[in-house]
Amino acid sequence: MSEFDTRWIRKGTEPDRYSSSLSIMVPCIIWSLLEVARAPEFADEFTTGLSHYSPSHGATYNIQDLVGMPLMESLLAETMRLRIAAIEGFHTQKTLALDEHWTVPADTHIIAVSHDMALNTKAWESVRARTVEKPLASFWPKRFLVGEHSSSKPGTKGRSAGVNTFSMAGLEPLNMTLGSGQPPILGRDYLRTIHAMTIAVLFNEFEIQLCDHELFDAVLPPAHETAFGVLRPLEKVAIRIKKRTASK
Amino acid sequence: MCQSSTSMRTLRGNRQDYGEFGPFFVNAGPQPFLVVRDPKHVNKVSNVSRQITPAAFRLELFDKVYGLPAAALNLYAGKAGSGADLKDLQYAHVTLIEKHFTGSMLLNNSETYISILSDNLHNKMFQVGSWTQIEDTWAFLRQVVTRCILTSIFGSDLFKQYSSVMKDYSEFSDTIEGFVPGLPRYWVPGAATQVRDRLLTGIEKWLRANLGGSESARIADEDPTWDANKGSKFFQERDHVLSNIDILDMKARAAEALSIMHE
Repeated sequence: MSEFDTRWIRKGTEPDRYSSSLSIMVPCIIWSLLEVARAPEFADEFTTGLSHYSPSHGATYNIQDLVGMPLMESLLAETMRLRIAAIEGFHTQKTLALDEHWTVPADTHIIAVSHDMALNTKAWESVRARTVEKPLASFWPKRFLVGEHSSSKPGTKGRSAGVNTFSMAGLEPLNMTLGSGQPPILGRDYLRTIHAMTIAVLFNEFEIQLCDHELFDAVLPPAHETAFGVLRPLEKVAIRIKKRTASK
Repeated sequence: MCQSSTSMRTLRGNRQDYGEFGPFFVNAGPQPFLVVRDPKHVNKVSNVSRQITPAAFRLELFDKVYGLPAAALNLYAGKAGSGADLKDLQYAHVTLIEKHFTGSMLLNNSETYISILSDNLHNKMFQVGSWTQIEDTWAFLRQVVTRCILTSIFGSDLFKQYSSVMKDYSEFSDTIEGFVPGLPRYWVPGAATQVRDRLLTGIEKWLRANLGGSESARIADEDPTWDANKGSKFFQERDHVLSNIDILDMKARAAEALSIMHE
């Protein structure tokens, strides 16, 4: 490897993996918005959480606290898991034994599809049973929250806030669009921040509702069928929006 | 996209034939590839095989997707240019991103974005007492969020100098969807290359008008985080460093800007 290769290595990433994360940020933001608007109870809880760090309670948005809100982190992780279908490419130089049954010949191109990992119930269950309390084929924004007691475990990457904490501990390999692979060119912190702040501005300054909940369920892209690419609703989805206050 | 859909149909067909999590080959096309699905297998593969490096991945993107000129590609591959050039490139690609997109600089950049987004949404004439219906939420938000992110990085003059930038960018983004670097069976369709060249020409026009050809100004610490004409301090500083590398002409600087635009 020449000196050049180190240019692409960033903190916390392995140099030998990538995911084709071309422009995932905008689809990710839109999906998160639709998923919040779709679940009125969650939307209320989420909006109340946002309001603690928003201009009505202080001069400006408290960006760090909004980005670190457990509900926000879990929402992003769940959107990345189910609504972004990524692919990773590899290539073998030598023969590679996958296990006692399977051996890959040398000079083989290999791909892994994120949804194969994201929908593997047995694998998720064996890492953290709570993550499969709701089926992996459905969207559950609280999937990555854990009770406060487990945040005291050493090595847990959670942030405590009241009862629940966000944790990806042990789950990174199963959520490969979020946990591993090549980050977007401006970095993972940028993606997390822009995602959180767009969602915060939209739900804090506006009231947003899905127009037709049944239609939305019918136009969701089937999780088991798309191999990779940008997932979109199969038809147009309408929302209604109004300002919360007259200011601005 | 048609190429990848064809192969992915094959992939789905094969999936049904090969049990739950066994690996299988997709043989359609000139270069067969193996699909691994068991998380243990994926981990094994990703820990052991290192051939498709991010460096090779990026090089392929700059070549096929962003249209970086051949001379610049040689520099990026470490086959041309001086040690100082490579050091500058490293600085522009890695150090500057860490400087501007972590910690307090990230917060400054986020505040710029928040104010652009909030202004944009409040200019849409949504009401306090009554609902406004948006029929196609995907198209609406894609337009708003993309435009606000681009404004926060490149400034608002880009949209005046190059009025069809949003339309061209959306078309570019749609046409290269499904391109996977590192797999020889996928390539960038001709339509993507055409719209890419329009983007490079438009970005170059804006660069010449605002970032002064090859003599763009040095960036001082006290300069504001964002300028309507020149864009974010991050972009100005990055373009300045790149402009000091002789091998990189205006087209190469435009390709670099496009890589930031497309993330």
